Amino acid sequence: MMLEHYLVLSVLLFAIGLFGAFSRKNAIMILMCIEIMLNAVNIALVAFTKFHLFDMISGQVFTILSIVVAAAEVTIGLAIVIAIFRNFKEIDTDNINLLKW
Amino acid sequence: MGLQIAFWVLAAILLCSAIYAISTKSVMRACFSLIICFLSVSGLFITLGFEFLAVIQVMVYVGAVGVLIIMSVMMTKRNEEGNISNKFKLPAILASLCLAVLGVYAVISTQWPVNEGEASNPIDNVAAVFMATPGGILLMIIAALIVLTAIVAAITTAREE
Repeated sequence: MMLEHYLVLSVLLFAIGLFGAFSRKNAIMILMCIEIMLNAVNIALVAFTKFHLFDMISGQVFTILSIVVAAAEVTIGLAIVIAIFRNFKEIDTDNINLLKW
Repeated sequence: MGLQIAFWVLAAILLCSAIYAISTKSVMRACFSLIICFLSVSGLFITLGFEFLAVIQVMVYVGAVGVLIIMSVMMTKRNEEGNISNKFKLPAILASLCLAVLGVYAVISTQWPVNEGEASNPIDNVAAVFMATPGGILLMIIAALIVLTAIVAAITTAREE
């Protein structure tokens, strides 16, 4: 397979995740769509590493760091969702706008 | 030949499960579809030859993130009735279509400096080689600090007052 196949797949997956993150109401769904986008970035990073646009070691290490940051992000995001659900009894982002103005 | 078949099958599963995950009404079904999506990304890593990253992907995403998302879906109220998308649906479709078209055009029109025959296999012992390189320990310490900070912040945020 060529590099372009993986990059086109990564772009399509990122666009799907972006659409979901823009248009869904449920806060957990928005977090899931962000995870989809981070997976698209991981695919692109690994494909670049395979075809020698990165160094072999540093490409894998940056992919691992990206996975670590994604795990930390989803941890904090779900903790915020649980805290919001405890206070408001819902996680609908149309009705929770306490940080808007 | 086998790698190409694996790539196309995994790509089809990946895109279909991602589209199902963002378009279904039930959040629980979206969770399971997201886990299928993570597993096919791990399979794509294997087709590229990165078994170590594939194992880490399964452990972190399927094992940790998937279970975390499913547990938090179970702890929050079911919210499946009514419209699932907010009022930005049309701008979201336009923005993501523009991004997809621009990205595909940029990927196709760029002359990537790859040498095809030399797409070699990755090294086996990533952890040992990485720990021997200067700065590797520091990066791992930074990653550990990020995770520690996230765990402490999550406990503090979700704690009962």
